[in-house]
Amino acid sequence: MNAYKKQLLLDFPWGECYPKLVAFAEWRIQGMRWNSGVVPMGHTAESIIQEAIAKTFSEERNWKPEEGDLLMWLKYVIKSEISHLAESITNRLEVPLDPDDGSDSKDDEPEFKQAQSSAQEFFITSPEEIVINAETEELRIIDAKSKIDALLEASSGYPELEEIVYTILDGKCGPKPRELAQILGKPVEEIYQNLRTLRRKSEKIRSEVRNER
Amino acid sequence: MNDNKSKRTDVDIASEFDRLFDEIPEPNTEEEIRAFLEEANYDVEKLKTAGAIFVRDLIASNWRFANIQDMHDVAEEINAVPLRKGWNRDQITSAIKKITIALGTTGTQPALAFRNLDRLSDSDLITILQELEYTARQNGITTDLD
Repeated sequence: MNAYKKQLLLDFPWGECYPKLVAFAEWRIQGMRWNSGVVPMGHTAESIIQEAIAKTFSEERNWKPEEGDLLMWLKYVIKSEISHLAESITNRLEVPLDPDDGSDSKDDEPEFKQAQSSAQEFFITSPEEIVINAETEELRIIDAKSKIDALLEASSGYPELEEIVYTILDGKCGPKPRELAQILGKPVEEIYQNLRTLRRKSEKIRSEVRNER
Repeated sequence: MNDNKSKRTDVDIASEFDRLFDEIPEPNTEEEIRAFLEEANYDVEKLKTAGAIFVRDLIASNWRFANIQDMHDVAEEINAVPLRKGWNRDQITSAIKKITIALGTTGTQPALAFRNLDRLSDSDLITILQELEYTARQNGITTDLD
C-alpha cells in the first residue's frame, strides 16, 4: 500500500461517514428480495459495512484512489457484497413475483422474444410441466396476497401511508413516485420517505408472519 | 378506472408495489439519512462512535499502518533477548509450550498457536522462543526457563 493511499485512509472522516454507509446498506438490503425475510448467514447492514472496510484496509478489495473517492468505493463494495448474498444458495428459493420485471435482459431483445414465442407454439407442455407451472402460479398468488395484506396492515392507522396504499390498490396511479406525489399533492421527497417507511413496516410484518409459521 | 385496471389480479397489484418500491432513491441529504436511519431504529450518534472505534481498532491491528520507527524499536527490543542457541530441540519446544500456556492465561494468543512445531527447523524454533520471551516480558510474565 502506498503512502498516499494510506494517508487517505487515515484521514477519512470515518465517524461522519459510517452512518451514510449504514443508510446505503440498509437501503440496498430493503430493496432486495430475501427468501426468509432477512439477509442470509446472520449478516446485517453493519456487518457488511465492516467487512467492506476491512477488505479495503487489507487490500483484499483494492481501492485505487485515482479511480474514485473512498465513499463511492465503499458503496460499490457494499453493493457487490449484498448482491452476492442475494444470489447465494441460501437465498435462491425465492419465487419471482413478476418474471418480466426488473433486470430481465431478454426484454431488451424483441427478436429473441419473438423467435422464442413462435418456437413455443410447436411444443406441447408435458403433464409434469403443467403441474409445476400450476404450483408456481399458486405460490405467486399466495405471495402476492401476503404482500398486499402486509401493506394494508402496515399502513393501517397511518393516513400518510394509507393514502399511498389505496391510491395504488384502486388503480388511480401507476407505480411512479412522482405521479403519486402529483395525485396526492405532496412533495416527492415526502412520498419517498413515506414509501421507505411503508416498505420497511410491511417487510417487518411479512418477516414476522414467516417466523410464526 | 379503466377496464385494464379493474381486471388487475393480486399478482399485478403486488408487482406494482414492487416496482414502486424499486423507484425509491438512496437517502442522500443529511436530513434524509438521519430520518431513514432513525426510522429503521438506528441511533445516528452511536453509529458515528461505533464507526470511528471500528476503524481505529482496524488500523491498530494492521501492520501496514504501524509506524516504521516503532517497528524498528520493537525489533531491536526482541533482538536484545538472547537466543537459546545451546539448547536442544526438546528444551526449546517445551519452553515454547510453557510460555504459550502462560500467555494464554493472560488472554494473549500467540500467532503460533496453530502451527505444527514438529515441522519447523531448530533455528525457526529458537527465533519463535525469542519472540515469545519478549512478549511474555511485555505482559509481565516472568519465565523461569534456565
